[in-house]
Amino acid sequence: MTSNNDFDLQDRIVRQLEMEQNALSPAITLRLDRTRRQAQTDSATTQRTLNPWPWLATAGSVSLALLLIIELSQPSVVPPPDSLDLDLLTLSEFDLLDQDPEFMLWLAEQEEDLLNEAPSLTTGESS
Amino acid sequence: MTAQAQLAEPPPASREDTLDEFLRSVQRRAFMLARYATRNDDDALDIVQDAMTAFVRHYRTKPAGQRAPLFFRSLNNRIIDFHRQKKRRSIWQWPWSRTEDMHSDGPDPMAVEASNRQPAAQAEHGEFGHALQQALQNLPERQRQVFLLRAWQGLSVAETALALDISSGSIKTHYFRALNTLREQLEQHHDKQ
Repeated sequence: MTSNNDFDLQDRIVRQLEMEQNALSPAITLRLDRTRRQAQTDSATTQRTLNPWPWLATAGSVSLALLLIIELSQPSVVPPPDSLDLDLLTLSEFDLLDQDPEFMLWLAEQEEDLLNEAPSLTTGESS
Repeated sequence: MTAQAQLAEPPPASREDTLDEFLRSVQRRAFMLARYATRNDDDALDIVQDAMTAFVRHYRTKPAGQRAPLFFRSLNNRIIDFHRQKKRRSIWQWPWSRTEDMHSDGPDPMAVEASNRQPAAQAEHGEFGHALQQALQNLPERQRQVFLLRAWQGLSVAETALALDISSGSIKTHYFRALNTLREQLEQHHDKQ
């Protein structure tokens, strides 16, 4: 696919680029030298100083995991029933009512009758 | 085997020296690659410095044979970052400041340097040099990088693929296309000599 002409052209391009790179201005060459030295010094100092980001990331992950563990280990909390409801539920009448409503109705009637009869009894006793 | 082991693990002092020598050997090419990508000397120098810092930090212990592709990989990453930042900046700029920014970079440094050359040097670089600058500048970024790394830096297909983080097949395609374009644009100047 590549002919001799291509190789010649490529060779010429490379030679031209080499010339261009050698013809870079002294100012740029100086700055490149400084840049090279700076890069090596920078990386040396960066290696010495402790990079905080990995530590922060680890600390964050650990605290998140701890929070999850604590959250999952807590028993599920059922809200306490209202005290009034509890009183109602523990009343004996309600148990009886559940067992025999007709009896409860009869009992209520008897109680009313007893109350109605009570004054006459008292008057009778007094007379 | 012992000699190989010694080569692979040289004492720290000599490793520093060879690392410095390696960086010295590639710094001009790296600068020119970055300058083609940014069209600005200062940006190119910043990119080269960042690439060198990253290279020394991450790959200083790598064997000498792996240095070139890894260094140009660092350089390529910085060039990509530069283009991303530039794109991000241009999105958030007002239309009129975007126009100002386009002109704020000033003239093409390659053109300035070419015009500042001494007449003798200009004659030496000649028409072909000027045409080459234009042709390389007009190449798509990827094709130009592939061509320069393969033809100029002398990296193999696999090394270029590692440096640019693309497949070997893509390297061959980009190289072939770049060479075709360059041939078309430089043939007349090439034939003159």
